[in-house]
Amino acid sequence: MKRCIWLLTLVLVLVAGPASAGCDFDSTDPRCLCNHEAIQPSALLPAVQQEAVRVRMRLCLQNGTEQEVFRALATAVRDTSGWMDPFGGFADGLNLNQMLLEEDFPALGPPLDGPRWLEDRLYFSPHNLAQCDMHAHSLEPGNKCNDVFMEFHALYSYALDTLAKFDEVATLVALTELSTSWDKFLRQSRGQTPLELWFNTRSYHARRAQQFSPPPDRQWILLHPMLVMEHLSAAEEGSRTKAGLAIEVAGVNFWRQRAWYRPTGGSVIASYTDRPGVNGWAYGAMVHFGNAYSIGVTSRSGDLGILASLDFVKLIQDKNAVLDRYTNP
Amino acid sequence: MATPILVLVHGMGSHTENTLREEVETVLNEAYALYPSLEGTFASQVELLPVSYDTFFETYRQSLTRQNSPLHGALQALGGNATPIASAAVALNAIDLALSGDSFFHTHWLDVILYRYTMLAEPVRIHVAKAINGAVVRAGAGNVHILAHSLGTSVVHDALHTLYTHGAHRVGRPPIALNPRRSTLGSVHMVANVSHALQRTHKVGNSLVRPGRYGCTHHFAQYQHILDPIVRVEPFEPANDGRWVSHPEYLDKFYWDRPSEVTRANVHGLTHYLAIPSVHRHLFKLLFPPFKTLQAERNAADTTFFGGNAPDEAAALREITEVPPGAFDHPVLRLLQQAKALKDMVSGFKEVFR
Repeated sequence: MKRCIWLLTLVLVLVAGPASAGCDFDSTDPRCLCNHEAIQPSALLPAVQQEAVRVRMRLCLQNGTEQEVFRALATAVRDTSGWMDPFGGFADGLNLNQMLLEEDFPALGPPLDGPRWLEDRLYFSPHNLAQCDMHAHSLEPGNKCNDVFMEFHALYSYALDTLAKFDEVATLVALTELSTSWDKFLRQSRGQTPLELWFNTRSYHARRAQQFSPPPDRQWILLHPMLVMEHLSAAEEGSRTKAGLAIEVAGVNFWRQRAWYRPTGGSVIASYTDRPGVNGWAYGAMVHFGNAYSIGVTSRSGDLGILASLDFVKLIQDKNAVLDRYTNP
Repeated sequence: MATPILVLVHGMGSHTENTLREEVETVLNEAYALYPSLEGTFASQVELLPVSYDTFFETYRQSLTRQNSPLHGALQALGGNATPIASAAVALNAIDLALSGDSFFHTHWLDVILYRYTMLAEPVRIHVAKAINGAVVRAGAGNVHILAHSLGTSVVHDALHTLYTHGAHRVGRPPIALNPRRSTLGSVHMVANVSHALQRTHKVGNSLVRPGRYGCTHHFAQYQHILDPIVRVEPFEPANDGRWVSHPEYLDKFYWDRPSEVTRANVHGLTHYLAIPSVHRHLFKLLFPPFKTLQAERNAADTTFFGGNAPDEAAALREITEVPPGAFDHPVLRLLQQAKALKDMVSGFKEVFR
C-alpha cells in the first residue's frame, strides 16, 4: 500500500515537474495546483491519501474537467467512508463521509478543540477517544486521535481544493478584468466635482446589478465650472480673445471614446464675460474630446462667440503616479 | 499545514501596504514572544497580505485639489466675486475646496463618506475581493484568514458577501462567485467592527458573512472594546437565538470579545486591540492550530499587559462614552461625531489617532 502511494505521488511529481510555487495570487488555471509539492506519505490514513491523490491526478495527469474531478471526489469520499472504523468509529453511529456526500462536499475546518467537527448541529467526534488514541499511537508512536483528525482534514482539503479551484480561478479572472476596467475609468474619465460624483453615484446605483460591476459607461455633467478662452468678434479690438468663466449646466460624457476625432460628450453651457460693447451673459453648447478638451459656441444677443476649455483635472492630474504608488508600494 | 495567509484590511486614514504590514507585524511579533513555549516567531509562520484601498480616495481627493487650485486662483485674478458668473462659480467651487484640504476631515472622515455614499465604493470592494480571491487561489480557502479594522470591517463585509453570492460580472456570460461551502475561509476577524453602523445594501446579520453551515467562513470573531466610542454606534450584536447561526455554531464558531483594558488613549487603534491577550490569543488559535500555551506563560503575558494600565486615559474615555448621542440620528453621522470626540481626546494625550 505504501509503495503504491509512493509510486502515485512520484508519477505526479515526474509529470508535473519539480516542486515549485504552485498556485499564485494571479493564477488563471486550476492546473496551477499541479505545480504543488508532492504530499508526504500518511502513516495514519494511507487509503485516504491514495484516494486524495487520485482526485488530484484526475486534474493533473488526465487533464480532467470540473465534472470529472467532481466524480473523482465523489468516488474517493464514498470509497473511504469507513476510514474511522479502525479508530473506533464516530459517536452516535454518525458517518462523516456520508454527510460530505449528502452536503455536496462542504469544506472542513481543522479541529481546534480536540478531535471533533461541528456541521450545523451535528458533532462528529470519536466513539471511544481512548481506543482512537491507542490505535493512532500504534500506527505512528506519539500520535493521538487529534492527529488522525488533522490528517483527514489535510487530505480531504487536498482533494476538495482540486474541485474548488475551478470556480476560484474563474472568479479571480473576472475580478481582475473588472479591476482593470475601473483602473481605466479612474485614469481616463473626466474629473468630477463632488456634486457630479453624488449625482453619478445615484445614477449608477439605480442601474447596477447586485454583483461586482464595471464602471458606468457615461458620466453626467452637472454645474461644472471651468475656465475658458473665448473669442468674440463683436467685442472691441484688444478684448476679442479673453479668458473667462463658464459653467456646464448639464451634459454627458462617454469616457470610453478614445478616437481623438470623435466627441466624447457635450454640454449646455452658460458663460460670462466683462468686455465693453458686448452683453455679459451668453448661452451655448460645448463638445468634449478625449475627456479633456472642449470646444463650444455661445450667443450673446445674436453675437456668436467661440470658446475652448481645457479640463485641468485631466491635464495636470498625474493619476498614473498615484495608481503606481498602490500597485508598487 | 500550509502556511496560513492573513489578509489585512485597514480602517480610515492614510495607510499604505507597508505601513499596515509593519504595524501588524510589530504588535503581533511582540505578542507572540510573550509565550516562550511557542516555536519560531509570528512573522515566520504566517504570510501577511496587506490590502490598501486608500489610494482610491486619495486619487479623488488629489483630483479635487488639482482641479480647484488653478480655478480658484483664476477666479481671484478675474475679479473674484465681482461678476455673477464668477460668484456662482466660486460658490460651486467652495464645496470642492472644502473637501480638498489636508485637515483630519479630509484624511479620515472623508473616507467614510466616500465609501458609504459614492460609487468609489465599488472599485474598493472589487480591489479587496480580488486580493482575498487571490489568497484563496494561492493557499486554499481554509488557509486564508482576514483581519479587518474599523472602516475596513464594512469594506470586508460588503466584499465578502458579494464575492460569495452574486459574484463578479462577466461579459456575455453569467456572473461567477466563490462557493461558500467549498471555498470556506479559515476565519474572519472584525476588529472595532463598525459594519453594522455603515451597512447599506447588504445587511449585516442577514448576509453570508457568518460562520458555519450558512456562511463563508469556518470561524467569525469580532472585537469591540467597551470604552471605544466608535463601535458603540449601532454595534453588531447577534443573539444566540438560532437565527443568525445555530446554537452549537454560536458557541463553537463565533467569538465575541469585549475587552475593557486600557493601556493608551486610542483604544480604537488596531495596535491597542491586537496587544490585548484575549484578542491575539484567539487570533493565534485560529491561525496556528493546534495552538497550546502554558497557563504560566498566559498568566505572565496578562500581567505584562495589565502592567501598562492607563487610568487617566480610561477615565477620559468613560466621559466620551457617557455623553448622550448628538442631534444627528443617522448612524453614519453619529459614528463620525463619536470618532471626532475620540480623536480630540486622543490628541489631548499627545497620541496619534489612527
